[in-house]
Amino acid sequence: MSITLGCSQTLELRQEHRQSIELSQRLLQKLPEEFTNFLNIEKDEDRTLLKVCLPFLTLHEYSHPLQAKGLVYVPQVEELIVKIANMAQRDYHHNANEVGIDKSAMLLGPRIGHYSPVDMVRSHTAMMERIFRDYFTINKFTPEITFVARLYVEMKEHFMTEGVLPEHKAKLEQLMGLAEGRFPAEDFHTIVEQYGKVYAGTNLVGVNTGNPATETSHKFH
Amino acid sequence: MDKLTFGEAAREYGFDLCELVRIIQQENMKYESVGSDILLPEEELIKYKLRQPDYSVEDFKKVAEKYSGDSRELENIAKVLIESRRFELLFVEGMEEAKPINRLLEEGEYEFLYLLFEEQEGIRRIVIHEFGANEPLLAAEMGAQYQDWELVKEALKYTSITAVIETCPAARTNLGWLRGEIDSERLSEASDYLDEVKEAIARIDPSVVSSAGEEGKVIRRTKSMEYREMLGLISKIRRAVSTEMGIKLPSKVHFSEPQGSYGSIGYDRGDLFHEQEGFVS
Repeated sequence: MSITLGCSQTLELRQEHRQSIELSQRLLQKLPEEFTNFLNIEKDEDRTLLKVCLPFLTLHEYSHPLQAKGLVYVPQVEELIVKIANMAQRDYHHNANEVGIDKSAMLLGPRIGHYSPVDMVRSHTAMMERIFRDYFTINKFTPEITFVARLYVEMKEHFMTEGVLPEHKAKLEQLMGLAEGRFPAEDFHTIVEQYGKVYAGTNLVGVNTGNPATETSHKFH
Repeated sequence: MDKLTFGEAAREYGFDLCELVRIIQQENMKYESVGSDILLPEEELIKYKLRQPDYSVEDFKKVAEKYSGDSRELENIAKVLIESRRFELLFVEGMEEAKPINRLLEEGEYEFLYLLFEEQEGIRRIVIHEFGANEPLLAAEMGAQYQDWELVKEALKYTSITAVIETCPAARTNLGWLRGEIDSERLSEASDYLDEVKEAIARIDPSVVSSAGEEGKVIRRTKSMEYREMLGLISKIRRAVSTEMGIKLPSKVHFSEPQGSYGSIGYDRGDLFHEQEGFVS
């Protein structure tokens, strides 16, 4: 077919082909990343659960730039004296900081005036349910000791939050039980102890968080 | 907004003095006499300028830059722009500055545009027109990504469905939906490109042609509701945190779910650079 084309037509076709490639490259540069590795809202195993998680998850993520701007203080975690098998130092330090970021999310909810501490515990608990489902029920991921210790510390703290409903407390207890049995107890609780200090020491800088238990929430819809 | 002296107003907005007097009278602008000079509210001048047919994008950029960081004033300006039916530049709550539609596209700010679509049907039509005329394949990509058939259809006035399917990743990943829309379209109004669509789809993925249809429609409805609802909530939280903590937060929102994490929101690299360089209030 191409033999029958005149010279100018051939050039034109080549030009079109080049333009098409250029456009494809331009599109690839401009388009957001493909969603293959992202949470899929439509296909998530439990969309209701995902929605309940959303305030905590969003505030967690927005706490990262706040920390970078010096608006969230997260204390350094103490180095461990004992050696823990199958634990990477990088994970230990990463999750220590994430404990602080999680605490920041819990403080930000009431701070922006839209979620009470109890709302935030509910959202966090839903996040925990989601993770534990992925790790221990559908085996989507392999549990890692510092990550699970981080979740455990937070659930333990939230269990004590005033006003948390009995059914959420029961859920937290159930999830904490699941976490505890997965790793050597001594190793697990060594990490939990250190992460507990990070959680306690984290705060929003220059912000009085008031008495969170009694704050009224104005939820987004 | 500021008040300008007569001379400042003329210089700033490119009027000669006689013209400015005429405008003040014609628009019945309120002014204050101070000594031998008069003070004019700048907002009135901007509103007047925005209504003029020769008002250019460059002019608006100047105004937008002047008020960059003052989102309330920018929003006011944008409202004037919308009321006066001039849509070259758009401002959506949460953005730091008004931007031309094409720039929003180039920067991948699809979420902003789509949120805007929901609120202003009039703007949606204009944006579709702008997309179609300027960047049909980008318009089609956005339409396919958000499963907005009207947007894809508008883009098809300027490009071929073959080009769309071969060039746009979201069109390929949403072939089932595309086929469903095509079938619906056939019921309502015949279009010349329908056969071409089916041929193109068949070349890319023959299995889709036989399996899609109503299923595509159902997926579309679910996606729209779930996606928009969650995106809206994230957007509201972002604005509340930005206001409360006094910083600009990244506008792009994607959730990932890697091992050992909750999932994360993808940051706009540009936003972070801006923060580091101190451009953001």
